[in-house]
Amino acid sequence: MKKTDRHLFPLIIAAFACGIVTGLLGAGGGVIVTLTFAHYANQLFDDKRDIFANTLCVVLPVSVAASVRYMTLGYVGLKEMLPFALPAVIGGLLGGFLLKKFRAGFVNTVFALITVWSGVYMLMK
Amino acid sequence: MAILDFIFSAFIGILAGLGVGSGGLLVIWLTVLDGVGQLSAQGINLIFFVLASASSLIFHLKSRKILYKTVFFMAIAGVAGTLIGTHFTKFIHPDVLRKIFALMLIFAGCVALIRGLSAKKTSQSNNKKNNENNIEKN
Repeated sequence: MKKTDRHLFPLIIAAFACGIVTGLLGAGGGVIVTLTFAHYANQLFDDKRDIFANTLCVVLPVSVAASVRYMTLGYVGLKEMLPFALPAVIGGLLGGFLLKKFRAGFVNTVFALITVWSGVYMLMK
Repeated sequence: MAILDFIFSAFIGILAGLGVGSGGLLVIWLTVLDGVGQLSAQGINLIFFVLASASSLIFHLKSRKILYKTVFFMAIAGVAGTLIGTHFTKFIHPDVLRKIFALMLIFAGCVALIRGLSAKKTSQSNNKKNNENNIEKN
């Protein structure tokens, strides 16, 4: 049995949970997938940066499905999204390009601190 | 405000492109500063993430090892989960959803911090071992 086949079931469960969280909250599901990939990283990947890339490949179709559902449920329309479309594409391209240039640890720490602060602020609001 | 929206969104797009995710920061920006409703903000965040990460995907596919078979089955499971998650948005009050979202952010941030510290510790430990080995050889 291949290494990936052995880990398929827990990874699928993680992806299912990711879908529930993404559908419910519109964000955050990727954390579950990243954590699960990281748990099996030594068996699955030679480079730990592959974790982020594989997470993206899972979370992207999940987010597409959730976006379609949100639009059909009437929560959001393309008109509201338009002002954010261009910066999303520009930022995404830049981020992909800069991936090799930034140390993953630095980005991770900055992001983590901003996220915790944001959560606390939102909880108190 | 439109210029600030653009700058902040581009910054979040970079984070999404780097693969660390937007972490729902756009939701906070939209709900707190732009006065957008929680579910609308979540919807905008989802579409935003799709656009940003799709743009960066080509870089990831070119340079990283992708477990295509695994990812395929995971994506199917994830989409199935999404149908359940979106179904529950009809029954949970937006204020409650907001609190759950905030707790999710704190959890995600703490996990990222702990993993970052743990990775740094492992790296320092490996460097120390390498230095000791070099001294022994000399």
